[in-house]
Amino acid sequence: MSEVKSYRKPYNPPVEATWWTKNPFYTKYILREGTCLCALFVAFELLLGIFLFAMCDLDVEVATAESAAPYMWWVNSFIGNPIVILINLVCLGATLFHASTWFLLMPKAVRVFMNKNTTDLVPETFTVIALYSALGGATVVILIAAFASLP
Amino acid sequence: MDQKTMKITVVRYRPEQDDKPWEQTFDVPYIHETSVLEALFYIKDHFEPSLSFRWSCRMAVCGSCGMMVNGVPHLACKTFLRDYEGKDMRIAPLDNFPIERDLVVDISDLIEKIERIKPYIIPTEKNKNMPLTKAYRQTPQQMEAYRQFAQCINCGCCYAACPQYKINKEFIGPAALTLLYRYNIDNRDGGKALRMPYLNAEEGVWSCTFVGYCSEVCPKHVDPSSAIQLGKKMSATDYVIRMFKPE
Repeated sequence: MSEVKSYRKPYNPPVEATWWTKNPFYTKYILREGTCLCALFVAFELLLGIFLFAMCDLDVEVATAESAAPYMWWVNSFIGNPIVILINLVCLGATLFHASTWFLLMPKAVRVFMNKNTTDLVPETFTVIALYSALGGATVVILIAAFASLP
Repeated sequence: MDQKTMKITVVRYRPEQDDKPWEQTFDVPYIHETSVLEALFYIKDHFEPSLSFRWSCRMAVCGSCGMMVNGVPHLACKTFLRDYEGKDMRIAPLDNFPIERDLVVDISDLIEKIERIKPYIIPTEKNKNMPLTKAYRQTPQQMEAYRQFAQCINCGCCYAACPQYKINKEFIGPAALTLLYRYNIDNRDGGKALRMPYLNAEEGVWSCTFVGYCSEVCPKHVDPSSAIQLGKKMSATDYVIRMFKPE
């Protein structure tokens, strides 16, 4: 046994609830992750639409104002509401922000060599450009499908 | 020589007399080449001989002098006062580790985690009795695959930057997971099966939420968050394979 007295008394700093406000990097991270609340809103919004659609009288041959009343309330009064439109616009912005941060981070999860012999990796910009192209392509396809299905 | 002065605040903690850390401010003269580590030497030599901090190589190789400079994890030897010109500087011990004394933190948790993931080449059955020159040859590409992840100097800056480690000390953390991945993808290694349980565990790669700040602060550009995301891919692949091919 050592005769020397130990003065060890390690100090554990407490974790403050506001830790993410102390550094802009953390704040941006919390914003990025916070966009999930928007995704949650949109998910409930669509779920409500499906639910109200199921509540309509689906046995009638031709839909009438009365048989489609619940769903039409969702279309006109719910998603047509200026406040809901505004929230949806915010959600669109948040989703695009999330996508852009995600696309920027994606190269970290892609570590592929250009070919079998080289030590050159696929450049990060390749991955990012590929992701934006996929986003653009998917958007165009969806928009074409949406407009084509208009009566 | 163009000499200026900077107001440097240093966080002090003396376990034998203090209950919690406090701050002490010094006016430190500096020139273009003065590093934060040299500023600390100046304070120790001229104002406060009892100031404690860790250092060894002074050239970003040993990983001893990690500390928070204005709230960001840095190696004191690789951070220069000139980059903070016109501002005050606050030097604090590395975040997320218990403070032992002044700027010295207890990194034994980091060391234990690095040891836990077996950071060494475990020979395959085939290579066990082969001469080194035969068994351990690599192509440049095979080396390049892990080279960046092998640059870690265990300074702990990434642990100080990690919010997940801050709130959950069970998390194996950036440096250890990076080393785990580094040895798993080394073609000379045969120990992947031994390391996978640590990678797959709750406190392994899946505790990472890809904050990405570890890669931002790493003084050796190891990019731990990249290794962890690649580790997630490895873990997911491993999961699917074991569904169809149980041991």
